[in-house]
Amino acid sequence: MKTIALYSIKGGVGKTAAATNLAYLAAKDRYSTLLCDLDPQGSASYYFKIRPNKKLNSKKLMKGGDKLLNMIRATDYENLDLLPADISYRNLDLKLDKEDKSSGFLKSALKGVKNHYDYILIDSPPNITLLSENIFNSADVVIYPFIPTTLSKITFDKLLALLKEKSMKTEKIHSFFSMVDSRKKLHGQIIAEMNQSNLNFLKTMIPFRSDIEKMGIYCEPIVHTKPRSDSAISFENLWMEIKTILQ
Amino acid sequence: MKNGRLIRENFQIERLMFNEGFQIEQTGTQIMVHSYYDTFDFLLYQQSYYLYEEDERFYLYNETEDTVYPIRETKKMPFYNSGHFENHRELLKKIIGNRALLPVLSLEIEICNFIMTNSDQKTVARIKQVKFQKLNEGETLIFVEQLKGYKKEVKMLEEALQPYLGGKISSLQQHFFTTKIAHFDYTTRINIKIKSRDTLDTVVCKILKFYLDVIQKNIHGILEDIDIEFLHDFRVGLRKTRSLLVMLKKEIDPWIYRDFKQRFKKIMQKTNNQRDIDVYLDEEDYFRSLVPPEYFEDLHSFFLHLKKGRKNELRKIRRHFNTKFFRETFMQWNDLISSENGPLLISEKAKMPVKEYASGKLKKLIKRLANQAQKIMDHEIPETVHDCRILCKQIRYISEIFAPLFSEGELKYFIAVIKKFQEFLGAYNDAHMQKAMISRYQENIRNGREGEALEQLVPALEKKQEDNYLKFIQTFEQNKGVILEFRRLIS
Repeated sequence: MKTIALYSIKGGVGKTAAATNLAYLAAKDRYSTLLCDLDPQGSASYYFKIRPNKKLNSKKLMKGGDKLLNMIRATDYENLDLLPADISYRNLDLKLDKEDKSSGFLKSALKGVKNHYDYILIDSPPNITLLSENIFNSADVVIYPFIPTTLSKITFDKLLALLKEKSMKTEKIHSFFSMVDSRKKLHGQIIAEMNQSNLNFLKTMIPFRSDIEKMGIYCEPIVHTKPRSDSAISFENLWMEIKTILQ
Repeated sequence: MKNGRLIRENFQIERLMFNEGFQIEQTGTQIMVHSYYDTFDFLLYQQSYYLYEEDERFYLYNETEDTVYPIRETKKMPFYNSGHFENHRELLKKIIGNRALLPVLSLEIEICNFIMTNSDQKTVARIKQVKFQKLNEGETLIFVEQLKGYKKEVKMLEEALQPYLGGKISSLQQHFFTTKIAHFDYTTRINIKIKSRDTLDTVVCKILKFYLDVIQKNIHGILEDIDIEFLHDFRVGLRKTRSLLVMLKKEIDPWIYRDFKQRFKKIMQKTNNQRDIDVYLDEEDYFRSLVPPEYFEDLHSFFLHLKKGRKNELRKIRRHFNTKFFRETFMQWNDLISSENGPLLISEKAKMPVKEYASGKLKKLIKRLANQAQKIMDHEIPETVHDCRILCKQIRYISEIFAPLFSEGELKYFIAVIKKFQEFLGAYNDAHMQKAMISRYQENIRNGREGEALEQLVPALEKKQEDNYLKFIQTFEQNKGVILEFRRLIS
């Protein structure tokens, strides 16, 4: 079993769109896949039209094992299940801090689940907290959507500095350029600059397209509704690259 | 509802009404034809397996686990057996052995797919309405698949369906049942109750009758050439009959003994060549593995020659089975062993308890085996090895026939040891015969490369012979004590 986390400090960078489409592609490849929606906004759950079980809360999530397993719901697609988000996750950090939980809680919570799946994808909330540390620790690879702008660059540098300070493995992070607009000169410059750095940047770029935004209307992954669109093809290429990294 | 339920005539699932915004909608219809394959005696069906072909692809369905495994073919054949599939070969081999898979049933299946959605338009259950062409008109099966996390919703659906449902049924079982499956055991595994105090003549006649039945049941499969097991079982039945005949030599009218021993021998000889070729062809993959790939083509013509030879042999067998001699042999044999007064056994021993008689005979045979094995250990002569193999067969057959008379534990181990001897000696003999077959064939070939390809096989066969010779000697040395102890125990 491999865990892939989609993570960024910033919101609105295409994390959920990537998590949703990558999870769908893994399932389409006949891998038994679980998408964990840890973002209390619940966008990934919304994309799959899944509401959480009334009994689901951050306490259950922290306990993990069978209790967590019972909260998982099947999506409309074969081999793809989802652990829905719950609004109570917004207090997860407070709880972790209060209960003096280590940064390894997520890893142990997922232990009871991992035997059932080939891939677990985590859609993370956009912040840098104790939960983020947990996500970093439990993931085999962290996929970081990077909008090619100056602010993104600054935020990314800050993240790397913090991880180094905490002695965490930055090699796990693989970024991809997200919401790329080829008409913007700045995007081109930043991409060129980042590609020259020694950081892990994937070759695939996800373009800025309105059909990706429309996923919110159709509530289906774009790779399913428009498999021949260039957005869908980009997600497929991204999935191929991630698979290669994990091999 | 994993295995499906019968549902009332003209039932329309879309019309089911639910509260809270649940709806059922049709997502598609498929029409497909499934052609089912099984052995003539339905060995797969008996183990809850179904092998079917859909759109020229094969699938193996395990009803107990409710799982479908796609299986890949290696070559196209009019008849299939486990060897014709790339994966799950071991599983199939375990269930059907060398039996052929024949088309047994063809069904046209119409599947209507539905989904049940909640108020968010999220699918909570998948439903299949399946109509089989052969089911009584109007009868349809319904299958409901619950999606993880939506147990309550599926329960609600099942409750709504309840008034329209018929009995629990496995559709495939229903069809196979109506195909009038009759399971017969065509093998020589004996299933006759014998008690120590039964008299020799009663028991012997019962057993011989059983073997005659096996011999006759397999004739049809040999003539139709369904698979190689029919001839094998026919020959085992005949050989076991001969073993008993030899054992009873002194109790039977000498004329009858000589006459039938000769007749059975003749029938056996008529089938020898085909059986030898069958064994060769069964090991085709093994032989291919012995030569470098550049000789594959050349070896191919040798196997073609064998297949052609097999056709000739089959023709000869068919002719022979149609002779007056063949028919009368079994008719007269049947009369002899069916007579209630048992004219077959004429000596006074006919009325002696069967256990006493069988023990005495086994003891003698075991003593002979010990001597024969010693001979083999002194000198490796193929003819002596062959005699020893026949002796082992005889001992094993007699032990198996009279097994209920002896203590199970001791006999089981003894038979296992004899079986091991037989296995090594049999492999030795097969290699010897195969070498002879190659040299006969080599005399007539003109293609130099084909000769070279066959030359590659000879050292491997010689090694096989030597290995099995050594294995026999080693196993015999190790188990000599077991054999002699068993001889002492049955005294």
